[in-house]
Order: sequence, then structure tokens, then C-alpha cells
Amino acid sequence: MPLPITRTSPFELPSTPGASRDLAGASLALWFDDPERERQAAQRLALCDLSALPKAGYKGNGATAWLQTHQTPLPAETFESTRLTDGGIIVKVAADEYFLEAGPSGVDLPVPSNGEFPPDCFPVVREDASLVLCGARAAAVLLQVCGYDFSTATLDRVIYTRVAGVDSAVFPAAGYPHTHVKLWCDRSYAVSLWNSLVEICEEFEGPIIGAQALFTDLP
Amino acid sequence: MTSRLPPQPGEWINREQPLDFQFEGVSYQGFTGDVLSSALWANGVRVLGRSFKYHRPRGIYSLANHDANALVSVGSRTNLRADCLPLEANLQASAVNTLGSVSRDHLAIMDRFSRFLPVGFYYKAFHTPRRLFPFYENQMRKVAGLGRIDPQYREAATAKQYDFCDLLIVGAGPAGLSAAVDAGERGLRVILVDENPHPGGSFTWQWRRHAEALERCEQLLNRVHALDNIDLRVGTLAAGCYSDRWVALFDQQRMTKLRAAAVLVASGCFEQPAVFQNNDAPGIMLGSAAQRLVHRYAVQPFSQGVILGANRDAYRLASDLTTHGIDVTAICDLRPEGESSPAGTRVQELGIPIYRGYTIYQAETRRRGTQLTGVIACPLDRQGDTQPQAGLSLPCDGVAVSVGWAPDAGLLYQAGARFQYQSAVEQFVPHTLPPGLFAAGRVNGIFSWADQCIDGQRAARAAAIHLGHPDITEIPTLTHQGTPPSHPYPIFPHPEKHNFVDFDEDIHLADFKNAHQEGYDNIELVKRFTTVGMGPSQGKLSNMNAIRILARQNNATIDATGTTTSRPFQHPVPIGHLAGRRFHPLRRTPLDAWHRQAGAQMAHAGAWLRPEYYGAADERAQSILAEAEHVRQRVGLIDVSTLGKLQVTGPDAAEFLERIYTGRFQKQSTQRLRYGLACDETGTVLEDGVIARLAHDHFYVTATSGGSGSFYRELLRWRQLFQLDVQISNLTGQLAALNLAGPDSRDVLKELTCIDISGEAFPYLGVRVGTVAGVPATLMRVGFVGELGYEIHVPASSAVHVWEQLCETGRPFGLKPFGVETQRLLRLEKGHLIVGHDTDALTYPAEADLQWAIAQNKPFFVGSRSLEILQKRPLMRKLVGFRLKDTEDKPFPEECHLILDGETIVGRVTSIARDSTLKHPIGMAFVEPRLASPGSPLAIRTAPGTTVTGEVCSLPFYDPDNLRQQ
Repeated sequence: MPLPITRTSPFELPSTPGASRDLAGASLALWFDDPERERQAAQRLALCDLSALPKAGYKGNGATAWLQTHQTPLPAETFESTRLTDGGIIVKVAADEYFLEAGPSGVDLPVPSNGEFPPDCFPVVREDASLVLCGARAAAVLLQVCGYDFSTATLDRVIYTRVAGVDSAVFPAAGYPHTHVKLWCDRSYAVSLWNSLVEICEEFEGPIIGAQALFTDLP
Repeated sequence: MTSRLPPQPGEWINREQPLDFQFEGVSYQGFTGDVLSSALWANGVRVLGRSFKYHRPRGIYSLANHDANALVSVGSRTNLRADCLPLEANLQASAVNTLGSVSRDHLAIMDRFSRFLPVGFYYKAFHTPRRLFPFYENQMRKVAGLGRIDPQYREAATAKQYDFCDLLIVGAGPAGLSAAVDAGERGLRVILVDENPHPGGSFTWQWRRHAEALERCEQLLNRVHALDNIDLRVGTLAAGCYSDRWVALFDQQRMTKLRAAAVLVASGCFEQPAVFQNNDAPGIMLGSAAQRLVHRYAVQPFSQGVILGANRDAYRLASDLTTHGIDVTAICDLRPEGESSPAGTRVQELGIPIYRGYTIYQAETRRRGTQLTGVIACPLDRQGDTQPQAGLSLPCDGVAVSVGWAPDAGLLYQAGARFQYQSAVEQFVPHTLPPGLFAAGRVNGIFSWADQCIDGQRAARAAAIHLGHPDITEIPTLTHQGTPPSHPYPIFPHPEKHNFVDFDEDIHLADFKNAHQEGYDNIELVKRFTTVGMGPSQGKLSNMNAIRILARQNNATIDATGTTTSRPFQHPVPIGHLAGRRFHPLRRTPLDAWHRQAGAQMAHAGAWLRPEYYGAADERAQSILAEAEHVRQRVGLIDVSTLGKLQVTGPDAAEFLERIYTGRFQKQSTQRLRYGLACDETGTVLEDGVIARLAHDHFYVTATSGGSGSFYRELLRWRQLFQLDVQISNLTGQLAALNLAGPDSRDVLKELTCIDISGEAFPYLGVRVGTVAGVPATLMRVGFVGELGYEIHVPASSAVHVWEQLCETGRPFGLKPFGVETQRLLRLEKGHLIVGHDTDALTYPAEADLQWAIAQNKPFFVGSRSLEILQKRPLMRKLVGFRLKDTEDKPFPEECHLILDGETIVGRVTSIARDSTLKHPIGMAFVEPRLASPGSPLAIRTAPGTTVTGEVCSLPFYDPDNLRQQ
């Protein structure tokens, strides 16, 4: 008998969301308290858990060719990124490796139609914790946790660095309505990273918000 | 306020905001903008502190954070420097290191014994007899030390912060401000820091009476404020410089870790003391301190003063003080030729007596040294020696010393600058600077404010060129013109001593003579023997004179004598700022919250937090044994997500693994597991785990929890070296792993998976890919705990779901979770070693009985050459199992306890368990091969020294025929 699949976030959220949506078996919090207040917070400073977004990795000499067959616009250089149609992201993390994160609308990531990957293209399980630090004061928070100079960073290009002592991929992003950086980290370190960021954001009066404040076109 | 002057232009105090405060229980009044020292001086308080060793009275000396004369406690905060402690309303401060009060310190009696306490006395006197050392130590601890620490005091964590800029400029004086403006106008991101609460540096005290200088200062400050790309940070101390221009900045709130593309040091100089008898008496201060008092705080340093000078600054100072109504009794100029510049002429016009070729021989005090009454000046002969018989008495209540400067060069030294002593300025100046490091102003040997401005611009342009800005006209390097601003030897002996070279440590000139006679003729050794420069002010006012003294004793040049090593931090900084916010991340499995809710006792296992067992904290042993027996009899579930999980793919994957591991994998069947043992190049056991072949070019590999991270990096390194077509992915955090073990495990699992898990379809050491509880899963038949078992690897986000489904389905079978301590017991019973626990950094396979895991006739694997060599040598130790016999009423041995043969160490325990499902204590140990045969007796020395007897047993202890896990 098929059983419902439930994916859980590694983060401890402050309360039960006021609204959420199911995303590939996971619950994506849309807002917690007041959507409008969260939208305003997103402009100042806020933290958002996006770990529910499905992710995938593809690796091997054939990975580029296989992804190209899915009409996916691929980044040309390592650490660069392109966008999926629903706001998802493709990052070229190495010469023969890609990391994909779906957007919040639930569009599926590329999979082989027959379930078989071509030779030299290997799927890699990606269960990274995913969060967004957004708002005008996000830079001030980053200055407390990371030794990288983000003021010189290129938008939409991933930076591998250490955030609050945790190896992370940081993605200063364009395209959302507010200044923000996305962070991915190994799931086993997620709670440590999250707790550090929550503590600092609280000092800057930055709340935890749902995804609707970031993705304004979400239903 | 007895010594407050009328309002001064540019003074730092706000007279409209008076503040009440207390010092040593006495109430005073000061102003906002005062520091504690200036406010006390304004109130006529002259004794602000006591010296460390002899408890001599001390007053203001540098008023610039360069000395530690006035250390105070405020509440629970101690060792605060009154010279830079901002006055606050109702501040209650008291001096440190006193018995009684600062004005009547009972420990001042120590000064009378100073002749019996030369440097090195402690090393010799308190060394023997050894049995009395605790007494000596106790007494010394009572009288030594400065402020008392409040052990209950807890300061809120101060968050550290990173920052970045193109150019960091240290010092906002003439050179620093000019450099900032020049660099800022070129568009550089400039951070300009100054430790003072206001910018301007020497503009604010030395050049206050020079209209042109003030106008320039104002222009520069206006420009600095107007340029958005200049970040001026006052009250900020650059305390340390590390590799690649990483500079530690400290302000009241925090430490900022600044990474600058270029660093320009315009930190100035420390004015230096002269050494004469009683040169530390309250009222004797540096000329710069007197000017700081006058111009910054509008405080009269003294009413009638003598100036001891050896440069032009002394004459400017005399004019300055006279202008402010201070009676300058005389200038004693160490130079026989005196001062011929307009500054000298001006002093002559003022009618101030000038004694050329004179020094102060001694200072006269009364009231136990607390009040200066005059000085005795005497001429110097041609060799610079004093002629006390020709001395003359000069009454005064203050002395201003202006005999020279030493560069504030700590940051430059730390950044790798080399210095050279220049006789033109009689100071060290930068000789070579590493790329990206620049120096300007007084620290660079430039002494007039106008030249310092030019030098600042020069350095800023050099920095801009270094940062890649083209088309910049360079400014030629300036050199000092005129007589040297420092005297080469302002140090004068006195038969009664008390002529201090180091005020922090109360070191007399004679102490250096003693040290030299003891054979300490190197500046680093002299420092350690005499402790010169080792006090709180870190030698800012003593190191240069110490070098001059040693150079003269060795009859060597200053350059040949050298300097001591400058290390961060060059000023004391609050230790709470260093602690900062805690970033020591722990790894948690996806089931962490579930374990806590289920009552698990969590324990640190390397970087991970793992459930040790489930149950009450005081029922550890019972809980572990109960969990173990349950796994043996029914079914248990353990979270093994901490296992290293690596994916190795690509056409050369099998070849790659054959080179890494000691076994063979080219012909390994898909859907099968093999044990993998990896060594390093020396043949030492590095890692072990299982290697599952999922496809001809796809392997899934497990590794130890603690070693997987470094093993993964090692694999990446070998991949580069081998140049094989293989990809390696670390899935440790991406996947969860659950081990379902026990006789009923198959019955539980079959309810949740579509995979045929019957013994025939899925045998021991098989691997299958399918689903468990609807989640994609990789299943492996392993037997680490020695029972029928399945390791279930699923995406980490689905771990809770799968775990809960297993618990639910297993309820009729009595399924219970078990912890890592239980797993360790079960694997010990089964005789399975843990790499890194039962092996160490020198263990090679034969010692751990792992020869079976090494494939014969393999052409190569990492460590194979070393193992060939090792195999030809006799075995020195062997890992064996043992059981204990007579443990009742004896301390139970622990891991790492030694095994003895008589008094000879013949082994050590690696694992041990008091309670086991076998009903007797068991363990594993390294022993000499002669003791490795079953039945050999072992004598284990426990911590209290009791010997416990054991006996070597065959491994495994449990299920030797491997019937349970099939």
C-alpha cells in the first residue's frame, strides 16, 4: 500500500505557519503571522526557510549534454547560475556537476523519461538545507558571521565560504523583490547555522517569515 | 577644580555637562569629555595609582594609553586605564594594587626593600628549598597582580564582526588625515581609525597654537567628512596585524576583523622618558602629556615646572606652557649646543633660563614621594656623564620630559616590516615594507606637521598604485631636516637607584647592569630576565631605552642590538571581545529532535550529537544492557546517519577504489557489498567501511563517522593524482541511515518495502535499491552488531517519516530504539573493531588482525609498498579480545589503561564493557604478540593502581560461526 511521503525541514520554525503549501511531500510555510508585516520585514531584515524546495544534483561527463536535452539554460562557467522557469536555480558547481533547486511553484526538476540516466551522467542526492536572508540589514548580519566581502560579490554567482562556522554555499541573488542572499549548507549543520542566524537577526529585529514575502506571485 | 584652565580652543570637554564621580571614595566633579585622569588632575589629585612591585606613587605620565601608571577598577571591571577611561556620571573608581588606599598604601614599604629585590631575585631565592615553594607562591600571589578579578562577573557576549576596505589607515593625525583625503578622492574605500575619541592626532595637542596647522586640520577633517567612501572610526584601536593584512580593530562594542587590500600606518610615536632618580614621581610627565592636559582637557599640568629637553619640541612646549600661565622655571637641555631654531630664540625672548648640556639628576619629593618639590639639575661632561657635584636645585611642582620619540611600530612589525635605526632622527624607521603595507608621518621619521601631511599623501598614492590605480604622480620620499628629535642616550645613573627604565615593572637602570653581568647580553634574553617591556604597557616607554642601555653595555650599535618581537595585541584588549559570539557548529542527524523527545541521553561523538541510549541519566548501565539484550532477542532500531556516505561513480570507479582500498572491486558483482579497508601511504589503517556496487560504474561507500570528512578530502586528492575518470560525492549529510537489527528485523521491514528481503533473495552482504515506507532507499545487509540486520539509507528529509513508520510497524514486534553506546557493546561482543578507537595513528593491518582484508598480488594500493616493508618486520603488538576474571570489589579498568608484565608495559585496553549480554566483562586490547594466544593472562593496571586480571580470548565473543546475521 503506498504511503504518504513526508519530507521535513531541518530547521525549528517558531510556530505553526498561518498558511503553507505542499511541495513534493514537504510543507512550505507561506506566512506565519501577518503576510503584509512579513513583506515589510523582508525589506528590512528577515530569515526564511526554503528547505522544502526540491533539489537535485547531476554529475559526470555526460551531465551537461543530458541537461541540455531538457531545454534547460545552463550556466557557462563554474559557480555561475541560470534560472529555471519557475524561479528555480541551476548552479554549475564544478566542470562536470550541476546543482538544481526548484522554485516554489512545484515545477518538477528534470528527470529521465524512462528512469534511466545516460552513461556518464549520475544523479546526486541533494538534501541541502536552504534558507534566505533578506532585507537591507542582511549585509550587517553577514558581517557578523562570514569573512567574505559580499559588497564585491557578483549577483547570481555562488560563493563557497564559511558562515557562522558552517561550510556554506552563499548566493547573492537578483530577481526577488528585495536584497537577499540564499544560503545552502549540509543538512547536518543546518540547526547550528539556523540558530546562529536567528539569534543575530533577533538582535537586528529581523523575524522569521514565510516564502510568500519573497515570492510575491505565489498563490 | 583647582587646576582647570579657562576654556581652550578645540578642548574635548563639554563644560555645560558637569559630572559627579568618585575616586577612592572621595567625590569630585569633572566634565563630559574628560577622562578619569584629566578629571582627577583638574581636582588636584596627583597620586592616581601605585606601581606594581614597589608600590610607588604614580601620576599622569603619558596621558595617551602608553603607560600603566593609573589602573583602576570600576565595579566588576578592573585594570582600566584612567588615561583613556571616559568620565561618566556617578562613576566610582578605585586604584588597583593597593593595601589601604592609593594615597596611603601600606605596601609602599616594599619600596624600602627594593635594594634587596633586584631582578632575578625571585628565580634564585624562591627556588629552594622545594618544599617551601607553595608557601612562597601563596605569599607572592597575595602581593603580586594588579586588579582583582570578580569571578562572578559575566559580560554579555560581544559579537565580532568582519569588515573590508581598500585601504585601512591607522591614525587620524596629520599624515593619516592627509592620506585618507588623497585616497578617498581617488575613490578608494577607506577606513580611517584612531584610538582617541576625536580625530586630529598631534594637531589636537602639539600644534594647537599654530594657526596654519589648525586651518589645515579643519580642511582635512571637512574633506574626510564630506567623502562618503571614507569611514572614520574614532575610539577604535588597531591592535594586531596578521597575514594578508588582516587587522584586528577594537572599539567599545566589539572586535572587528578587518581585511584590507592595503594598510597605511600613520600611528605616530610614543614620547620617551628620561632616566634619572625618582623620574616616576607624580608631577613628572612627558611633554606631550602636559600639552594633552592643556589643549584637550584644559587642565594645568603643574604651576611651576622644569622642562628636561633634548629637541625642538621641548622649546615649543616651554612657549606653550608659558602662554597658558605656567611658570617654566628652566629648560635643562641635554644637548650642549642647545636649540638654535626660532623655537629656541622664542624661549630666550620669554626669559626662560636654559641650561645647555644639563640633565635632571634627581627629583626631590616629600610626603612619602607623593609631592614633587624640585629637581637637582647637573651638567654633563663631554662623554655625557653627570657631574652631580656641580648640581643646582630648581624648585618646581612639575617636570615635563621631552627628550625623544620611539615609533608606534607594532602593527608594522607584525605585518612583516623591517626597521633600521637612523641617526638622523635617532629612532628606528621602516626600511623595507611588504607589499600592501605603507607607513607615513612620525612613525616614518617625519616630524613637522606640514611634512607629515605630504608624507601621508605620498604613502596614499603609493597605496593607490599598489591597488592598481593608474596615472598617479608619485611624491618623492621626504627625510627629516635639522637636529635629531630624539636624544641617543637620555639615561643617567644614580647611586641611590630609583631611576626607572620600566615603570610597569619597577626596573631600575642598575637592574640592567646586573642582568648584563649575569650574561644576558641579547635583547630578547634581557627582556625575559629583567621583565622589561613585559608589563601592561608592553614596553612602549621602556623598550627603546632598554635597547640603548644594552647597546652601550655591549658596545654595539642600536641596529646590531635589535628589538624585541612585537606580537598582537599591541595594547591590552577586553578578553570578552575576543570571545565574541560562539560559532562551534555541531552536526545533528535528521532525527535529532525525535531522539530528544524519546528521552535519549545525547552525547558528543566527534562533531556529531548522537543518542547514547534511551533512558534516565542515572540508569545508564541498565539501559544500555537492556537495549542490547532487546536487539539480541527481538528487534532494535538505531540512527546511524553519522556514517560517512560517499558515492563513487564513473568509468574508472572500480579501478579507483582498488587503488584506495586494500581489497579488489573490479570483479565485484552488482548488488553485493564488500568490506573495504584503506591505509595511508605509511600502511597505517586509515578507514574502513562497506563498498556497495550499484552498477558497473556506480559504487556506494560507507566510512567511519569521525573520519569520513578527512577521508573524502583524501579521496579527492588521490583523484587528482590518479587522473582517473571518476566522480566522488560526499552524501554524508544528504542521506540518513537507519540500522534495523535483531531476529525480528526482517518481519518488520517486509511490511514497508516492495523489495524481496527473504534470505534467499537478499542474502547477507547484499545491497538493494527500492523503497521503504514509500521513500527511495538503499538497503544493505550488514551485521555490525552481530544480528540479522538491514541498513536503510534514505534522503535525509524523509528520515523522520521512515523512522516513525518503522517504529509503528515494529510495535507488535516490540521494536525499540537503541543508542550508540549499545551499538558499541554489541559490536564488541561480535569482535568488530572501530577504526580510530581500537586502532591508533600507528596501527597497520597485521596488528589488528586485518590481513584477510588485503588482496594478494594486487599491483598497487595506497600504502602497499609500506606494508610490504612492515610485513618483513616482526609484529610488535596484536589486537586481541579478553575477558576479566576477578573484577568484584576492584576498580573496573577503562579504555587506555595499561597492561603490565611486572613493571613493563606490554599493552593497553582499547575497548571494554563491564556488563554484556554474555554476562561477564569483555574487552579488546593491544598486547605484545607473546601474550596474544587465547588463555594468556593479562594484568591490567587500573587508575588507582590496582591490578585486575584478565585472560585473552578468541574473537568474536558472540556467535563465532556467524549464524545470527545470515
